[in-house]
Amino acid sequence: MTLDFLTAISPLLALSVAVLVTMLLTARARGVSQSAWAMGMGYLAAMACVVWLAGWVLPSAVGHHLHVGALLQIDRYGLVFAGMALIGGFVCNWLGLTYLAKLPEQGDEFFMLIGCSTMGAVLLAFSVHMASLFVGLELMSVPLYGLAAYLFFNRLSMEAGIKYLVLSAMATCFLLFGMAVLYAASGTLSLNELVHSTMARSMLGWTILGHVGEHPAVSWVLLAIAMMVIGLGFKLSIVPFHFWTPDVYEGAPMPVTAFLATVSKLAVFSVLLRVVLDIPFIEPRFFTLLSVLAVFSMLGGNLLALFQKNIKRILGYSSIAHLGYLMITLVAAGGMNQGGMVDIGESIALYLGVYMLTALGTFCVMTQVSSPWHERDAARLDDYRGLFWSHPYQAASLSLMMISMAGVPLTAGFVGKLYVASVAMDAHLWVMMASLVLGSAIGLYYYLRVMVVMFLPARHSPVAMLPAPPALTGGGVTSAALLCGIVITLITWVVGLYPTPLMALIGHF
Amino acid sequence: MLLLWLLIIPFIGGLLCWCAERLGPAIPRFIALITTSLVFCVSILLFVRGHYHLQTIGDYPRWAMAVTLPWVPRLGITFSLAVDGLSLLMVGLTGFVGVFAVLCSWREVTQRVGFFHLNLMWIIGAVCGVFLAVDLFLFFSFWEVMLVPMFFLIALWGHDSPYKTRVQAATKFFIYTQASGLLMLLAILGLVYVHYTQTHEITFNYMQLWGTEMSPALSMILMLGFFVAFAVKLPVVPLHGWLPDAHGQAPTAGSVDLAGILIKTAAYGLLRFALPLFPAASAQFAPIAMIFGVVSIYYGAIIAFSQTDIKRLVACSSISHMGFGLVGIYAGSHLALQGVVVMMVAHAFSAAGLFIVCGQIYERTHTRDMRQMSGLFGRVGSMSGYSLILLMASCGVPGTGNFVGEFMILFGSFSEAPWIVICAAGGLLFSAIYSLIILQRIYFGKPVSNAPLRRLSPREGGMLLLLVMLLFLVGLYPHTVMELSSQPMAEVSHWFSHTRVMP
Repeated sequence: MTLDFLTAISPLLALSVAVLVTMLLTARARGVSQSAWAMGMGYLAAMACVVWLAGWVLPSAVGHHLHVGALLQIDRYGLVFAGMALIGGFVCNWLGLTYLAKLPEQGDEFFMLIGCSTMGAVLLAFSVHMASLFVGLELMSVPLYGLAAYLFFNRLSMEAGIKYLVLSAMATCFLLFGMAVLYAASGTLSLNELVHSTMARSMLGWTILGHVGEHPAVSWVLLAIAMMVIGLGFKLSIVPFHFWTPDVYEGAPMPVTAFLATVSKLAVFSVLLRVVLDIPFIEPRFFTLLSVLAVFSMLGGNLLALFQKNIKRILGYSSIAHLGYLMITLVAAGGMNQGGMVDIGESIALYLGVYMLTALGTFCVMTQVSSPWHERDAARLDDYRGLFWSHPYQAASLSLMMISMAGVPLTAGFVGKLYVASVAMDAHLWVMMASLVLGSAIGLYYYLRVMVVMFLPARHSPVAMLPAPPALTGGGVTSAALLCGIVITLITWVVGLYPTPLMALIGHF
Repeated sequence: MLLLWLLIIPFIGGLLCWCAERLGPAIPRFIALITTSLVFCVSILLFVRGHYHLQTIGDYPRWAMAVTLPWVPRLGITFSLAVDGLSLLMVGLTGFVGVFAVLCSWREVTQRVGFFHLNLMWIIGAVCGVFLAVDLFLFFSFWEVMLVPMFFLIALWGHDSPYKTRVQAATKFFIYTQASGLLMLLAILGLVYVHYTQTHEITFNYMQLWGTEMSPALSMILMLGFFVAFAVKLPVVPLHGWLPDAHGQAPTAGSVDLAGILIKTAAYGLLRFALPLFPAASAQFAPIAMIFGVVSIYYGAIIAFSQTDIKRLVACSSISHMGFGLVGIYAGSHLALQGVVVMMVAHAFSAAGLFIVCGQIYERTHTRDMRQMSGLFGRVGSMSGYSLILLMASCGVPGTGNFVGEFMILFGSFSEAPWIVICAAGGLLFSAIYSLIILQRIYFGKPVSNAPLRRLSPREGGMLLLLVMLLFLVGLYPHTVMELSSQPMAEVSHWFSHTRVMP
């Protein structure tokens, strides 16, 4: 039994060991390179554990999932999301190495914090209990407060950290209160048991009988769910809760922004997915609420991004829009009789994976041209003028990422969009589909802007003044981001041209 | 395998152009020239190897050659290409116009030559893909992919005009076409979904989606999804906003490609997908589409008349010409459809020629504003003669291919929609007016200066001579073109009118 537990949580164990080892190594001698390598090995080990669990342990397990008490459930979904979170953390780790290499001190903690945060994300992917959910969320968020403000000598970074801390704490309050109310109404904290709890059954009965709102427990559950949506919505930055996103994205150091935009979103989304999939009695009105939020996010995110002059802010708003597209699948999951054209879980995993890939690819390029010693990261559109003529490969990679985000065929982004559109078609969500088209059309404008800027003639741009391509000349250390960028670019392209292997991987996971 | 070469050659050729840039600016040009010539040669080879005669008309299109490779089995997507007379004609045209696009930018483009030709070659490759794809997903992919290099062509090598930058024009072009493309994607998905609900099999294959049963309302919605995408590209009048800007700002090669082949993809799409897949809905929609066509004819001519920028004028005139195409397509008779094909071919030649002339005038006078270039006659040598012939062709003087096309369209449509044809025929008058006005404004009047300008070089003169000769060839002996397109057009016409009789 105990051994089974240890097997089940082996990815988490691997990561925690890596964090501890890194800490001990730091006690002996400090150095960013050493920390990054130690943590990098940790991620690899954790990924190996995930593959092992998926390939060898799960198929022989009862019901194809493992339980760790009531808190965690290791199943296919969880492993897919955990795997993606680990890949995201891994890439951010190396981005951090490139980014911080020139900082003389205080570089090591960065990698451990990213590691802890990734651990939280993995925990979230596995959690089926309010307690583990909360622990995971906090484990993921708390290091991020510090990470966002990592360049404490930089006013913007400091501001980002504090802003994220305050708003995140408030969102957590909502989440906690929601959980408490849910507990009061249903008598259990486990997502699995919520379905079976007697209270839930009775509520289900009440809903079917059409006395919605009359039974006090139903109103309580609605209230609880609304509060939880606020809490999770904040982390996902869907529209009415998005105000922190652009500022924090802009101020946080580049690798941290990458982490915020990818791993943190992905993990929280996996939780939301579990809530929606595991609680079938959820009120229809809940899905109306989700639909409204989705439409707002799709249109709002894209519209707000239109006139931004900073790529990090653009990416912030674009991530809002992408989450909006993703929420289509959530709504479909609720209103759907099974057996449509495409599998919803697969669509979500694929879309998130593709989004993560393209976002990380973008940040790889941006990290290569940024440095913590500058007043700010190189993120203004003007900084990228003429990048194509000075650094053709980086610019080509960034262009590909932008095209992919816009969802042009033969890039990975299109595969995701195709899946989402098919899901919407399956579930007959016409309004959502219209917003998807409209949002994508608006989105094109700013993706194209980023692309074109790189091809315009350079105008004494700060990038050109940076020590001639830092990533290219910096030797072993700084080329980490370059290497990640190359790999991600290739994957994005290959997945776009020939998505079959990736689909098979996610489908069979 | 021959079909695959049509895609492989331009894409690889483009990459070679980019890589060869470091060897000198001339190398990419030669590579591009060879690449486009090879595309043209392959299409000739296809012509020689395949059978394109009129045969019996079945329920399915008769391909002369087809190839299918697995691509995304999970979603029923295959990499299927096929060719019949229509696609062959279009592919040949693509290769041919491609050669001219390379030739006409020989001196115009001096910066980043390699990347320029990369984009040019990829446009050619993607357009070939559009003309060959018979998997809806593959078709859509190429349809969207051809926009990206075109976007770069306009945004990076275009001209800024006082009231609009080239980046704005390129962005406008991209957003118009991409957004409408998304509608088509939804229509494709809708079609696939309907097919899936009936057979529980996901497929994007054109032949399998053929004849999917659906309610008239749904069929109309899906048809409109396709129609809007094609109407933006054609362009049909309320959706034409991108075209004058894109042409006005594009480099010559971009305009030649855009007018010569890119807008032909829309007409091709209507003939290949919108009509055969949704014959009943199309027949129902035909009167409205034809009215759009007539509006385009007049509106295009009127805005062409009011332009002062010579390239914008030619661009607007192609709106007018494509209006004729739309009328012919939705008339649906065999004669009218044949006329559409002849007109597309002839228009590709005449529009390409006119844009090349515009480019040559710009290289000499450094302006495209017609108000600043009166009296060029006698200063530019034989160019004025070529312009005269090309403009005569453009306004449909007998003896040129455009006349044959327009005449057949009007003649073939008359029995279907007499009033529409009567209205459309009036548009011919307008085209004569704006064509003459170009000549009047550019070549006659008081010369700005008397200094002789550079004469046509053999390269420039040769291009125009060849185009003019081809225009006459199509005009005097359209048989080759018509024979090639006879089978596919007879099929389209058959399916289309078949449902009209029995709604």
